[in-house]
Amino acid sequence: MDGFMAAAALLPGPLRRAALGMEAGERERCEEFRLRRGREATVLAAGRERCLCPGPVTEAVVRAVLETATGASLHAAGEQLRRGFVSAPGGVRVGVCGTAVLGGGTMEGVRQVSSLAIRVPRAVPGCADGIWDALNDGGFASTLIVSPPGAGKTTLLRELVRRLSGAGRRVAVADERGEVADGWQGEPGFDVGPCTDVLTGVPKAEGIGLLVRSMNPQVVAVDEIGDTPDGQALLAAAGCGVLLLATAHGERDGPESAVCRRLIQAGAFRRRVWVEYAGGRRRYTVERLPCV
Amino acid sequence: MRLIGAALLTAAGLLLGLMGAESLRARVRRREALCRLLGEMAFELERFKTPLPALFASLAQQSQGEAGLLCRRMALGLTQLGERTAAEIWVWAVSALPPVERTVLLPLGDVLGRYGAQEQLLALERVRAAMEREVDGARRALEEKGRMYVSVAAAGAAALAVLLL
Repeated sequence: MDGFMAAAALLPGPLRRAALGMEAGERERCEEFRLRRGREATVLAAGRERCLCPGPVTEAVVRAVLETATGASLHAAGEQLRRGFVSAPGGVRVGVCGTAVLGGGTMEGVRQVSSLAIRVPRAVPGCADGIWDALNDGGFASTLIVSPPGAGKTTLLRELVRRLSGAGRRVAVADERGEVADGWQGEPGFDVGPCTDVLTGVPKAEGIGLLVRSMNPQVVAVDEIGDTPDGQALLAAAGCGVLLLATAHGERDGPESAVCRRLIQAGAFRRRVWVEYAGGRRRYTVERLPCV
Repeated sequence: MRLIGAALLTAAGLLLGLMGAESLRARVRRREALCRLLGEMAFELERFKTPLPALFASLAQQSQGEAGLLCRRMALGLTQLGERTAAEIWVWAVSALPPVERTVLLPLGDVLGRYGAQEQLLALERVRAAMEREVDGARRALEEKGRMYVSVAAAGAAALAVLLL
């Protein structure tokens, strides 16, 4: 099942029919389905939202999507819900918004779900062809992929993992949300290469340490590093002689996140790839980072 | 000839009585098995937070009779999630059970898989308590009526046999 079909399969009756009725070109460009209670369901394609199906999204619709996404097992998705998403089969991630349930100052879950963002996962074999040589000039070095949300960081990361693994490197992926490899019931749904080990569902910081200790990787890959523990875990892995391949949110002319700045200053990354998405096309730019 | 007819009549009456008593015993066993199933579901949810498809697939292999049938139907139905809701699948799965068991189990469909583990455990506990009351009722019926079925059927058949002779 391709990413679009996997995402559409989460939608209940009329919405699914509307999604499946989309023309082939739009399906190709489709990035997300967005459901907001009391509003029309929309489809996000090429950076723009349009109505998917007339009529407001009801509580029953939201409930049905969550039920299908969790395999009627909301109790088993508690930890993911606490972090604002649910992983579904096919590498689909469903972002969840609503009223937060707080406990001890931290978010324990979401009740009265108000919005869902169903992300269409997509493997684009060959998307790294244009930058592969630049990334391997003098041998592969630790690389940070940076872009705003939705620009295609994960797609590029997945492709680089596949290429590195195909070239015989042992790659370990800390796939917290199951988006990189679509780790579902033990087997990756996406082709992530023959020498790739995937740890799914564990917070990145914990997962990186676990992979370095247990899987003897040459490269550790993680998607969307965010906070200080992630950065510390990556630094520790780099200190063990492991190469890093990571993605982070950011913009070329915008401010740099504190975690990324610290990692670059510490010399954890030697290359940075900027991903820019405009007019339905992605552009990758490789930048060499100074050695520390 | 009359003697053989009378003997057959008595045996048939006795058999009818035994079958009646056996159906009462089967009812007790069936409800006990469903109670055990509810207990195992609660254990899995509390201990491992097992997703429902895996839970019912595993219990379908361990359970016999109506409890096994219920689990097999749930495991099969959950493969069609998205076409039908979990509540609808539950209603379909319990429809294979006798009326009393079906009525006791039906309310679980509104809770299973839709809430956190604690809420589901509470619902399972309530339903299990209701099923245990039905087990007690079935046991009492077996004690009160089981022997009576055999005696009355045997006595009736004997009376007919006497008349025949």
